[in-house]
Amino acid sequence: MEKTKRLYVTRKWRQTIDGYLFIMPNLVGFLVFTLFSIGFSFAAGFTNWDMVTGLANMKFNGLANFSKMFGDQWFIDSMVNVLYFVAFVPLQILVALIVAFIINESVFFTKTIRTALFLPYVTNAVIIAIVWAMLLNPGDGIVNNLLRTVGVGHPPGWLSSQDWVKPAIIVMTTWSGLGLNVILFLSGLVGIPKEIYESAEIDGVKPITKFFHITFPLISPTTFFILITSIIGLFNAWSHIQILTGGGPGSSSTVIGYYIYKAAFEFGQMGYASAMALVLFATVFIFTIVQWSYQKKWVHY
Amino acid sequence: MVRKTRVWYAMTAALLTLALALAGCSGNNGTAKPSDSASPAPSSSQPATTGASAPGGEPQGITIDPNKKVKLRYYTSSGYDQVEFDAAYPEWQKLYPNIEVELVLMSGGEFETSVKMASIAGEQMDVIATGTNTLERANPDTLYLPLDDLVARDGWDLTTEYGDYPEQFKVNGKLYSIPRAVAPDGVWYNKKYFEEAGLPDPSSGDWTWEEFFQDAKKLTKYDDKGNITRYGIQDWMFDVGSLATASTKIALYGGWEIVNADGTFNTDWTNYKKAVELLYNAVYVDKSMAPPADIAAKGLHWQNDYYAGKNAMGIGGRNGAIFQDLAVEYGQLTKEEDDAYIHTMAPMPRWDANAPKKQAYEEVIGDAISKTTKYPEESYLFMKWHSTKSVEIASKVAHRMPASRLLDTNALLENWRWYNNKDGKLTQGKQRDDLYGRMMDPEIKPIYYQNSVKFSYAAKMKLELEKHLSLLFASEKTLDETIENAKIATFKIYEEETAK
Repeated sequence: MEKTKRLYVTRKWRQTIDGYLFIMPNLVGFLVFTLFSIGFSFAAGFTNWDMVTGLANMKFNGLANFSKMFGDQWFIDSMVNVLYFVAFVPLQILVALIVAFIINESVFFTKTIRTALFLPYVTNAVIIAIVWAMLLNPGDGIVNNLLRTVGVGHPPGWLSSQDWVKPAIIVMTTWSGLGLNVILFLSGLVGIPKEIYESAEIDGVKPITKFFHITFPLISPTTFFILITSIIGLFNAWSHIQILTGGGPGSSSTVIGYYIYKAAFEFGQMGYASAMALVLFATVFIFTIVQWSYQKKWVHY
Repeated sequence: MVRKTRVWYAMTAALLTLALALAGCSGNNGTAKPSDSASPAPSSSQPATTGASAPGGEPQGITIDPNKKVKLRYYTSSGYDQVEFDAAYPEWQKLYPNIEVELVLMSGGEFETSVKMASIAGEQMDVIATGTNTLERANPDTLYLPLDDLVARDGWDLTTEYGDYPEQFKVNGKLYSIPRAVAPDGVWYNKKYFEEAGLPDPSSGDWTWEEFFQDAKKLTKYDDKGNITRYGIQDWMFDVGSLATASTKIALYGGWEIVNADGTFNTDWTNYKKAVELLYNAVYVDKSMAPPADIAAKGLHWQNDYYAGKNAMGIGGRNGAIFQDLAVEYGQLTKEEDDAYIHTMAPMPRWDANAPKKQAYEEVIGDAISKTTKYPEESYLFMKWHSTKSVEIASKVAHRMPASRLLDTNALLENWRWYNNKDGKLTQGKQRDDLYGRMMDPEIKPIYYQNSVKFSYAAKMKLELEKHLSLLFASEKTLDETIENAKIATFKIYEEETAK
């Protein structure tokens, strides 16, 4: 009995070692390139490090970076701008859902339409930003020329206007992200059994009721996934801002990711940038936790 | 069998882990490792200096091994440097056949950041293009090799060669770059528009900055719907990322700098506030100047728009005169307007009626040696040649106003008439004595930042200033708020940096 038990323990121990050996490459990569980097960034957030002068000049400065942050107009504006964009995520999801629903109900050219919708998602973000900057050029852009043709004497300044720059960016990001969201919703819609709809039709249920009581609940896991990933993506994305507006006019389109980049690499304030990254991490974490808590109320698996 | 399989799996996993770790910790993917001590040491090989004759002078204490094959990398963001390099490089190869130079063109707006990151990553860079406003002044030792030792060993008299220009590249008492070319400011103006508006010709240079902006207001035109069809003025430095330079440049005419001569914080911002107010009123009150956001969104360019009649005046480089033929060739400027001589230059305005006239801010571009170079002596020789003879050799196809005073001015003036046309054929252009005369006017005295360029913390203060100005010129803050906040913020930086 004792011998069997020892044999069992030895075999289990060997299996454990084998398992760790198999995941060792990924684990080492994670420890070295991810966990170490996160830990180093966490530590750097409490220093005055500028990166260029080397680690020897890194000095601990306590919470100075954090207290500076909350008096920094640019940091506050960056966070407010991101929250502005986050507020439009439900609308972007709704647009994607409607488009997916239409495609799902269509008979003709569904593959072509799906491909056309997905193309922006796989196109380089820089190219998209450059093309949209040309479209939205307040002087010679196609959009304003069209508006002038239909009688709008003073069309918006778009990227040069503090009032219109954020709506312009929302339109661009909705267009570029629509494809992926539509594909995800389509896969969700396809998974809904047809029998449920047939039963509902037999019972005389109206289409709008079918949507809210059948379609929406059954694709709620997909909706939840898109909601989480869209919000996290918004907090992190900034390359399109760099190309489109450079964060301007003023700070009206600066997002936190771009400000962190500028602080780290242009202003030479890596410690301060690391502190902001920490705050960003905490913000995204809180958002995700809140969403996870509320998902029990409306997500049906 | 099972044991053998387990051992095989374990070895494979261990090998993969080792490979991953080595790949992650490897240096520069095959490129040479940076020199940790890039301080130049005299070569112990036989001296084989074949220096260029004056200008530049004979290299005296700089010795290299003529048999040692060396490859240098020259980093620049300017495509025009490529044109100059391609034209002059064959001559370099005759002088130093063992030193190959590769030009690395990093175009785009992030050149300074890219070069900084490349240096931190240990990429081998040898010579880096710099400028008055692009030199890394906050931490120059992290990027460049101080040149004082090399220049002293070489016995190169920089004052005779360049006058005061090298002062623009000294930080904390050390020289980091050698001047190569200059872009002195001037006001390009359309004589026809001035006549239409009944404004006096500004060629005398009597005008003050206030009068200048008043003229700009009168030159601004609107259509029936109130849309601006022609701005009064555009400044080549006035866009996002350069607001601090544009405003401090105007304040410089009033003798203002962000730090005093002894490096202490300048507490009197009266003149600076006036400079910012002039710009702000031009944009938002007179509407004679496009706001930075419009410049970015509409892709406005002071010179293209000036020739197209969208600006009546443009603050730009006087050296633009030597590109006039190219402007006609490529359609920016019509031949009719060129023949009518309506585009010309005036001296920059003066601070006020009591200030001297005919002063002009000059932007200086130059070359620096990277601290990651493995070949400091060879890099120095290339930099020296590139800053002197190369400018003259390439002057038929790459028109630059040289920083060197020892180049043949007559030869340059003659060569500047030549240009490569659209078919790539070398073509002789127009005789432009009046325009070149205004460009090279000996009465115009150059002015520079005397104090702020010398102290590294002034560069950090200027970055902070830029942040506050961008809010003002987006109308997010008032002028008084901006000046107040900027003064406090820059003083904080001054205190922190000088306390170190």
